[in-house]
Amino acid sequence: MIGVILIMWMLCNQYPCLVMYDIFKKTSGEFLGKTLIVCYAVYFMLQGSYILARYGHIVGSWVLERTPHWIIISLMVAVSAYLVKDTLQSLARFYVLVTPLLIILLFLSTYSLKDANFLYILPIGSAGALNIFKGSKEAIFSMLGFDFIFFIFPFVNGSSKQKLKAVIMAHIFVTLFYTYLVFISLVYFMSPVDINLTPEPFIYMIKAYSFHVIERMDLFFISIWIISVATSFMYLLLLSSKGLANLFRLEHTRFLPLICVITLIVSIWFMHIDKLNVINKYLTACHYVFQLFIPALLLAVSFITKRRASVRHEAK
Amino acid sequence: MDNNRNKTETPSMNNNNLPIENDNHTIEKYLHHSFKHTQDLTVQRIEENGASVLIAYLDTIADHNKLQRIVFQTFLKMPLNEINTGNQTCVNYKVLREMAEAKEELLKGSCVISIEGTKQLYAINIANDVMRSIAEPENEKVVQGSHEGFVETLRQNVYLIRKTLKSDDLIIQYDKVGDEVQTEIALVYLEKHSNKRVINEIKRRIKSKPIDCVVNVGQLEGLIEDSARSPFPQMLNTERVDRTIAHLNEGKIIIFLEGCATCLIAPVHFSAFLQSADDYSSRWNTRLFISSLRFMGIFVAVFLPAFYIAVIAFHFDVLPDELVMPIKNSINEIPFPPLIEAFIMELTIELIREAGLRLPPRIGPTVSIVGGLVIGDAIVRAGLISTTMIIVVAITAIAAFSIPTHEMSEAVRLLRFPFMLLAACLGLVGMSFGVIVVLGHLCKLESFGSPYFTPFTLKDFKDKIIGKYIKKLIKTNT
Repeated sequence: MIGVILIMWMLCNQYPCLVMYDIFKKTSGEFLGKTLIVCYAVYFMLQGSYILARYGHIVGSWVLERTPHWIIISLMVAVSAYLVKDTLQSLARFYVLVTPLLIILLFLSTYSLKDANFLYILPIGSAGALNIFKGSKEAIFSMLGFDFIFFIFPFVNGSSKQKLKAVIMAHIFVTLFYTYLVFISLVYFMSPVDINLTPEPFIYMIKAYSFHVIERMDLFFISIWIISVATSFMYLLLLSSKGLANLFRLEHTRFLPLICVITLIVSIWFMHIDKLNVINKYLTACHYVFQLFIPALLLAVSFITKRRASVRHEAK
Repeated sequence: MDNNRNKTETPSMNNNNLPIENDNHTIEKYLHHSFKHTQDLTVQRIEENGASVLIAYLDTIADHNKLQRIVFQTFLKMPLNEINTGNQTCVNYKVLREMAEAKEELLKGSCVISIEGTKQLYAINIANDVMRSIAEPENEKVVQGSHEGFVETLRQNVYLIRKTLKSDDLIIQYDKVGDEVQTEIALVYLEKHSNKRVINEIKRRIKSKPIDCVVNVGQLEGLIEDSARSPFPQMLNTERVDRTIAHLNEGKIIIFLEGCATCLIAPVHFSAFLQSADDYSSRWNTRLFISSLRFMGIFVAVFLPAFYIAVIAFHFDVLPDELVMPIKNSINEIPFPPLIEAFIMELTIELIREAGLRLPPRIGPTVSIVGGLVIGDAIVRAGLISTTMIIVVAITAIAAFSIPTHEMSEAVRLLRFPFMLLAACLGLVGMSFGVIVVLGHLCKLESFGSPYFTPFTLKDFKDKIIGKYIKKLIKTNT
């Protein structure tokens, strides 16, 4: 994971004043760059639709059982579009503002420790290092979201080292947070069989809480979680619309309605075919291609071209 | 000869840049013409020192004592050559260059004097200064501290600031706003602390927006604020002197409008609307408690009715077992869905508030008794509204009134209606969407280039809150 970050960072560092999309054009030529941008925009849209479908599925099965899915999803799209259509700065302010909500999640999850049995976590490592690696391979990309910063690299204040530090810190924090949640779900449930039976173990666990004044904490949890979903959907929306805007040299708000409609339709289709896990597998492959291979390739290309340029310079 | 000249002059009567003619008859005609023969324009022609003198003033805004004392007894007794040299010994007068200036001076309450043979017009200020005495503002009362409030006269307000803030850094700039009727405004700021960019931006906005006439700061605010469509106020209104001075020291810019006892403060942060003047005089722990109470007030005022509706309509299982029966019993016989129930009660409370505002103070309490006790009691007995709903609505109303600034309180009261609607449609999920939109909107808002709703960062917290108290502690100990 750190490798992915480093590759992206080095690529951005090569052209510190350019947006990621411009870097594509610069390193791989006009035509190939444009195709790359389209691919990335589609990739972000797909990811966005996947998130929407997942969210619609969870809200539909936990909170609003009888509301049609398309209403829940289209509301989310509309709300996100409202925020994305303004400046990057206001979006950043919003993200900072909603970050403290994580503390509530932390508190909610820690509360379950009172019923936990730490023996359930054992045996660790019985499956072998290879299996752990295989498992983590699938999960790794759900933690990648902070690459966002590399697409808006020139707009962020601070030296490139600071930015790298911020991204790495953010990833470490998220990884720890997820690990903590997984750990708690593991120690709370009886056996692996239980975990396999419950589709969303964490929500299920919270549902059992009773604070004597208020019950059904899962409802509150989901309400807060919706805001987090909105943030991740917003950045995908922003990136894909920025990509198309870069392609046609127009304002990114022009493409927002189009992208919203596409993601909406695709996500409803995803929910309709009801095979989210299969889609997730395909998406994981996409993650590898778009977040690891292409940046690495571009980095190599940029190194070669730079060296060639410098050699030519010396020859002159 | 005289008639002849008048004929040639008539077409240019409307021309404001008319050069000053030393002909009293023409001047009188011009003044009557430009004031459309209003009856309070008094023009007197007298013979003094052998010269024909014309004295014009607006009878209604001139002080007759001053007229007598300054003009008749002093100015006109001065020898002509002394007036001509402009050597102002005992009377402060102004020499006018254009007829348009004479018009302006008359509107300010001056008396315009023309002496035949001098080729000049003179203006002497004899305005009637009737002003309200300085009193404590009705809607911003404090327990401790200064009880001064602004009045309707611009210069008096500036005086109140200057009197308290004795600093050579204090800058006052006069400007005019309005196309048809020009109203004087004053920008007041501290040179050292304030941002030049913001000042220029305010001036530019005042100049660039067309408006016929400004009578209220509310209009001025709508004219120059960043997004007029937003429900949130982006400039702080206050009538308190101490509050204004505290903001001046923070580098804010104050705008006064002639004829308005309220001043505008810009740029402001969201939290400024939650401060009351009492905060400056209370101890830090009390202040912390009270201000967190106000934050809670906003929270309750916006979310409580919506939350109640969401619970009743969608998530009844949120309630613990002990609460289910009492609430179920109270809403069992109610004929309306919770949204309608809440709307009826909220609108009733708003009506009572609005009616109480219009009534004279002697009848006011009657309305609140009739509204609060009679309607509240009877509506429950009639089985139209549940008791829990009455409690929810009452708490909401009280919470909304705890917000110290009137405008923010209005914004919050309005905001809860869309939230109630969302809660009735989609329950808690709908409320989350409402929260996203409102927070997003607040993040988008800017007040003259500075963010309106920036959350505290960790660094701010260290510098502003902890740092201040440590500094204070050190200061008091040494």
